[in-house]
Amino acid sequence: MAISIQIRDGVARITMTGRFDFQVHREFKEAYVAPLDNAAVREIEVEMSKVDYLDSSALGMLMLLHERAKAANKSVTLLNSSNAVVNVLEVANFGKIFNIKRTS
Amino acid sequence: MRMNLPISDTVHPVPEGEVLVSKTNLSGAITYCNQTYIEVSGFSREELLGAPHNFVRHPDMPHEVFADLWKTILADKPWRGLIKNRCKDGSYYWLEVHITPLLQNREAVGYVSFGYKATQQQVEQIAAVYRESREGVSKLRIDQGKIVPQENRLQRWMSAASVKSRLLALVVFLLCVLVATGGFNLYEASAAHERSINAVVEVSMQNYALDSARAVELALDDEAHILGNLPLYANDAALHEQYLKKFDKKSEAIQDKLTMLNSTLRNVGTTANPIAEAMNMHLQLVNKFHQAVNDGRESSVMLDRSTQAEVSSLVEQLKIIVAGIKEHQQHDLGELNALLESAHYSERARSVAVLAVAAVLGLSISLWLILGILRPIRRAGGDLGRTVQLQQQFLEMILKLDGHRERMDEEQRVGSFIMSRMTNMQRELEPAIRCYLKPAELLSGDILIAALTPAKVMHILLADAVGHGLSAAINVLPLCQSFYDLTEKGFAIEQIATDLNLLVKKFMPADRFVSATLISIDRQARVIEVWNGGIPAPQLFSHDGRQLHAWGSMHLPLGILPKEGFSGRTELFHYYDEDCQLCLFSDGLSEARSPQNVQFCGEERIAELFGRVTPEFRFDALVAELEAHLQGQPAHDDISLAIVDISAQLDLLPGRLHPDTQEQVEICDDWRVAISLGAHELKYLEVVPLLTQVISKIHVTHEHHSALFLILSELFNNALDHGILQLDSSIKLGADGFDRFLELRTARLQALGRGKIAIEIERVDVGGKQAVTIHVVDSGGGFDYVAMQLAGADQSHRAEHVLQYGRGIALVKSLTCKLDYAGNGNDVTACYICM
Repeated sequence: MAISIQIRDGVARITMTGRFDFQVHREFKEAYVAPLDNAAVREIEVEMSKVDYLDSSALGMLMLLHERAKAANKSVTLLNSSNAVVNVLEVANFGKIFNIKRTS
Repeated sequence: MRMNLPISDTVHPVPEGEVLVSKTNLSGAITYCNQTYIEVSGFSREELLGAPHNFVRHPDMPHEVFADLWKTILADKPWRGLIKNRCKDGSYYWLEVHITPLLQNREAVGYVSFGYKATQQQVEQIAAVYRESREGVSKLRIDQGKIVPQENRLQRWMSAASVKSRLLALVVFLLCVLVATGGFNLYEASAAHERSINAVVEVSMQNYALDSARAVELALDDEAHILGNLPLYANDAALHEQYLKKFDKKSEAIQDKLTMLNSTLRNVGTTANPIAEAMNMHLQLVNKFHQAVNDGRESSVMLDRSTQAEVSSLVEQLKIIVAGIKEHQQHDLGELNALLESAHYSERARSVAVLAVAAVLGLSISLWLILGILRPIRRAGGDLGRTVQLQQQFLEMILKLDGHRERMDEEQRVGSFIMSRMTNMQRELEPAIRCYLKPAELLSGDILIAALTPAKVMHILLADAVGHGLSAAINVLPLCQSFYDLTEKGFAIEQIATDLNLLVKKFMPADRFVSATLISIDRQARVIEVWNGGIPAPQLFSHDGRQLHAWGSMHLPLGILPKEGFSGRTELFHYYDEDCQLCLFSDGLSEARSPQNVQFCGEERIAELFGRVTPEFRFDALVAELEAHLQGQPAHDDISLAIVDISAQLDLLPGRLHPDTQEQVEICDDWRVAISLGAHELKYLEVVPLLTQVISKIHVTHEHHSALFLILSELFNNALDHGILQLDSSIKLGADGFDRFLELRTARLQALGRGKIAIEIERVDVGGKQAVTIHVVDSGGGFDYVAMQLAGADQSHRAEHVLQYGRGIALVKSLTCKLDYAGNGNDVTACYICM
């Protein structure tokens, strides 16, 4: 799993690649900690077009991010989810609490 | 070089017997550190991960150490040395550090470092060396971590020379010795040969001179003899002539001999003076003699006595000279012998000396060679000690780990036990529900439980906590108790969902939500109600394999939304008169991966299988297909599967269980409960659970509770639905009939302005037997109960009767010994005998 972060115009984009499961627990947390502390960042995007597998632990991690972002007054968007991700998000009805966006 | 400041003089203690472990990538950034490392360094894991390895470097460390470190590990060799590190608060600690490259397919992919507490002795030795190097006092020489002591080039080369080079040196030396001695001998041999030839020649010459001298001596004797005899032959002229000739011959011979002796003596280096003198004297003698002879011819007088005497003394002189020569030669010969002997001895001494030197040199080189061979053994011996120590420490770690694992196994075992107890299916449900549960680990994070409400409605809960194993199971366990509790009390699944959501939200962290589906199967009403938050859709199939309905996930999983945002809204389906099967499963099933990494794809497979296989075999067929798919490999996520057989045929309504009795009902002054509910209460109060509570307090045995509950809830519901809300049962008929009925009911209840239901429960005696009367009065318009009773009496139209007036009343009738209507039908009393 390779995670890259880009911050631009107050939006931090965290791009996930590969398997999004329990193994990336620490890496993912390290990735969003900085943008959360960064006062200039208003929105955190989690880009998942290259994620080929997403399980319930990943949903749990997204939930944590959601909670922390809310506490820091920032918003979270799930961006360009791959098909594998979309299926899981749909069953869990995460669209009801997350912004889900497509840019392409 | 990185300077980490500030520093203090405080030593940070390193725990004994523990190891500081860290891993870095190829560029030296930290990718992992263990708990001990974090605790000793004082930094947090977040600060350390990703930081360069020199993050904890103490400024006292000379940079040569790290240059040597990198040189060594870049060559894929292990490094072992002493390092001083700096804590976050500036204090320091010393470690004996072992760094090894991590190899994958023989290529380094990173490095691992093990740090042990350095001993006091090590620190004292090394700290001074490092300091001197830093202060520029001496240059630090370090190789693979070991300090190399100061030596000159030759010493270093000699101690560092490999076995091969030492062997080579020995061989070269032996060759040189061979060549030298060979050459030397060759040279000596020829010289000696020449010398001996010379010696032989000289000796023989000396001998020859000696012999010549002797010969001259003898010849002179003869000459003298001849001279003496000459006068005897004075008369005989012929004989005289003869002797003269003899004398001439002899004197010539002597002269020749003298000449030869002269030359010989000159050759051997003796002075020839005496000989020259002798030769002259002899010539003189010969001339004198010839003179005398010539003079004598004239007269027959021979040599006179003076001439004779002269001749004799000449001869004597000659003899002395020759004797002198003889002596001299003998002396010379002796000297020559002595010289030859001494030369021989000194030669021997020289050879011995050379041999001795060669032997010494040879022995020392051999010794050097042997030391070189033994050196790796010695070093291995030293390393062996450390290796043993390391292995000992690793063994201890393994034992510790084993201890942890054992504890974990024990926890899992206990957890498993608790889980199985709590999730044990009620026995009466078993034939109807068949379950297949396959946890990924020992403990499953899925639960699949079912229970019956007092009204015999089946409630099923399938819950799937995030992850699997112990941490997931812990999240899901509290839900069991709640579910059983609320179901037993008769709460509807909407309420149960709401309560479970609050439970998870309140007690679990945000990332530990629980996907769940709650199912309610009411066989009386033939309605299946489902709340689904995050579980794959439960599917309903007919006997011939058609999918009748699927309940997709409409809600967020439990524990995400707060009370205000949560919706317990269920989706209903009326299955009418069909026998059907409900199939539900957790996502572990659809995601189950075969060893070839193919997913099982639950929904499609199930639909296909149900179309193909007859109902009684579907469960086994599905399980068989799943296990075939997994091919013995363990599941990645917990798998839960259940198939519920739903028969449209209700249990035959019991024929009058309790025949009507004409016996008198006697009040026994035991107890009496009376409740009156107005419109307000009717709207919000969960009446059924309330009633359950009431019933449960009655002192009758448990088996009567459900009967009493049934009677009470049926009478109450009738009073509310038909009496107060004026809903007609016929609305329930037809497609979506039930939905419409419920909608209407909700709307009317919301809008209810006035209304009242009074309930009275009393303990009585009937014919001496313990009994309970239930009396319900509502403020509604009532109904034509007379017509109903008449219709009910008609056995032939029982089915229509049941349809029209509801199964409920029929059931109540069968349970009670008395069911009397009064008023306009809004007053009903039932009597139940506890038998």
